[in-house]
Amino acid sequence: ARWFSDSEAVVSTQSTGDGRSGKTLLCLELTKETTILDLKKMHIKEKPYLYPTRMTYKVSLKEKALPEETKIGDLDTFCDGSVLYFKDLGPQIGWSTVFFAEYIGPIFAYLTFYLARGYIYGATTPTTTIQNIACAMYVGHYVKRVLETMFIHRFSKATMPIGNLFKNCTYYWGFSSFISYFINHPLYTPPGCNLCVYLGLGTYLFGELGNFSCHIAFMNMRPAGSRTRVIPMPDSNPFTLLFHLVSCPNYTYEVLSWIGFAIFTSTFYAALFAIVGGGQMLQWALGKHRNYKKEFEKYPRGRKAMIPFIL
Amino acid sequence: AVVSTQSTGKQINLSKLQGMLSKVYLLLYNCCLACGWSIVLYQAVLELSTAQNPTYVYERCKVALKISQTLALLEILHAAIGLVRSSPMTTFIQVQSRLVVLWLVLDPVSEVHGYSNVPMMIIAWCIAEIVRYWYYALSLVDKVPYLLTWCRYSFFTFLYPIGVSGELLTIYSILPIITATGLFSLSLPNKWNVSFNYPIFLMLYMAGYVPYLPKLYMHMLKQRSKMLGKAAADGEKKAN
Repeated sequence: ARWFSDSEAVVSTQSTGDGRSGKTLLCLELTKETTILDLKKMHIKEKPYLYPTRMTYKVSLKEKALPEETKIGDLDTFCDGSVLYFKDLGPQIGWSTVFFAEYIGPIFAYLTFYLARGYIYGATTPTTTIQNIACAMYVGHYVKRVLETMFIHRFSKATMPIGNLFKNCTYYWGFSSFISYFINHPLYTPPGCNLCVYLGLGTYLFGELGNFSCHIAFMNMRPAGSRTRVIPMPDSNPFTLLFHLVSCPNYTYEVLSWIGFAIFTSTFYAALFAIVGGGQMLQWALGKHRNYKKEFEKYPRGRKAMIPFIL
Repeated sequence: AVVSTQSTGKQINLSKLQGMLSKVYLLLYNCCLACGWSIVLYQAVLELSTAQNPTYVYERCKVALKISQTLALLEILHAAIGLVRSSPMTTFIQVQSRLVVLWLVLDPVSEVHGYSNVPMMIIAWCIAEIVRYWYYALSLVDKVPYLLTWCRYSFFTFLYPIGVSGELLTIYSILPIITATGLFSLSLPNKWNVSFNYPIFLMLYMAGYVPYLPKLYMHMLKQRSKMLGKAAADGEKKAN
């Protein structure tokens, strides 16, 4: 039950730190109509280095952060002297910015070894067909990602912590350099069997098309500007039928792409990239799958996270 | 779940039984390893005091050393399944660093077995591990003498630098040899289009020690003030 004086409620915001309540940061005067966003702006007046996307408030340490639209009046048992727990998430960076930085790097890294072969390896012979196609595959994948980031993806959160940028860029740029170095080397050895070449290329294309189809499907599930979530379902595209079997078929298709690429190029670091990337995507898929199940009571029971029938 | 035994008429709680079994297993594990490392120490000291040729120290204790150190892999499993309250990642880092030095650096390169850093490193490992495993074993039955706690949280101050110097010197000492022999190195062309330069890898690995050293040392110092303070207080409580 809510009860406080009709005009005002005093709120003290305490810093959460490691979840232990620290000192009282601010004492503010709020009304029932004050939203969390208003609160953030008041807080920023006191601490100008802050901005809304790095600030969260919670009613108790165990609960989730309050959305910006929430009004003080909506909070149960909130009254004079109540406490809101504040957490500074640290410097934030927009998802789009991150994606561009992460994806432009691999394109540049791969092309460097592909184009400057004479300079880097002292190569005198031109690239083989397989090396050319591999370049198109690798660069093509990242061009696709850049275009998707520009035109298709809708993000449920606006930002991410800036520390992730360094870690992710190291991962993407590092692997791209290693993969490209070995594929474009004059001593590159193509796969021993022709079947591997066609199988690899076919799997890659299948994975890319499937992944793209899923991204389109996700875009249509979430109308422009909304942050609401729905149970993912297949649309008219047959690639999206995989939604019946897994929560994150986009990841499933992407792992297939990279496996196809590794088979096509017969390169250790490409295989390692598929395994490490696959492992990370599996972790994300398991998390998303868990969230879907928690959020939707009627979530289809037969679905797995990323690997049909298995995990 | 409750299991009832008809004979005694008592009911044994299944989770309590599990807890007891884990304790017995861990007790056994820690005692065995403490004994294993004691054997290594005994062999190492014996060899040092009798033989003229320092190469024989490693040769004599290598079997017990390999068994004892490799069994430590189980500790990663214990942490991962929650049998022991440690972080699996930290345990993994500690165990793998020893195993790398033992199996990938020292064992394959017999030329360096006689260098003086080898017995120094082995003995430092022995003392650290013997104290550590006895501490764990006695903690399980709540009978840790203050002296042992003191040793566990004080020896590291010199054992840690000695051990790490030994490890780094050992790695450094094999570099010229493996550059010449090409041990574990791979060059192009090959079917998997991969090359591996083991000397460069080891140099990067040595560089990796640098950020960990001060962090781990500081952590142990903090643990020391916490644990020795607590142990002294417990001792006073028992006396009073």
